[in-house]
Amino acid sequence: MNKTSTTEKLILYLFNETGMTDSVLIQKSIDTDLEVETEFDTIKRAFRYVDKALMNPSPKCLSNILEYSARTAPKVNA
Amino acid sequence: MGYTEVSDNELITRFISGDESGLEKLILRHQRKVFTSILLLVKDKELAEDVFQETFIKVINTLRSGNYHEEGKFLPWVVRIGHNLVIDHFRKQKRMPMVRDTEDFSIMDSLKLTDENIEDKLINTQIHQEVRLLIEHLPLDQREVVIMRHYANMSFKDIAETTNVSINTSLGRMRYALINLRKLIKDKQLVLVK
Repeated sequence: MNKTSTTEKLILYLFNETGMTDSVLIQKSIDTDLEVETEFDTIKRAFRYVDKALMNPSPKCLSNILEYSARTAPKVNA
Repeated sequence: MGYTEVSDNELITRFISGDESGLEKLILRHQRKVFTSILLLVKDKELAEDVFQETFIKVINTLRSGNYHEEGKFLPWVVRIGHNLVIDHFRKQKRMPMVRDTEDFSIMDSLKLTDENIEDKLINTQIHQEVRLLIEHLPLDQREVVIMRHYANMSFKDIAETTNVSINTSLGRMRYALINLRKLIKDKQLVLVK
């Protein structure tokens, strides 16, 4: 495998988008090839980094949505 | 008996049946990923909040009209709505998002702070802001694929369909995004997550 295809396969593997056979081969490669293991570890850490960017909207923003929903809710017949 | 989280589908059914708390729970569950997905595209908190509200208004109307057919894929569906609204917005404006000053971001309000001390909070706040800026520095097509795959849990096939490219192209964009992120992290000498 060249570097590009290794990285792309590892990305697919990380996101559970590889088939059973490929998954077994990739995991074996991670377990036995230090370079592949390092690459996989780096990819995982980069995505953990991306999680650090997560943030919430303001409470006002949420209450606006809920108010809209309550205001436009279909009337239930008693 | 262990605690079992109510599924998105169950919450949707409750909401459609008139239980408003179903919607509230759905929003609270997914707000961070949906909001960040929009924010990273528009790079402006006020605009991101407007698009976020518009997104959920569309969600509410679609659910009530009975036109929701994405069972099991609520989050990707909502992120896709937000993405399309962002594209519409910039199409109307006829410009791409600009990098804005970020001092107006109330990062402290947004962080999930638990038992950390003040120093940890400040470090986390700094990391949070730096990471967001790093992602914002990625080209739009790479940013999109990171957001859709990592936050929205969309498959590369779904991403390819949404962005009108091949699966290989979207996968290639993800690889370039990773290369660029690593480079930016190295340039800025950031320490990768503890």
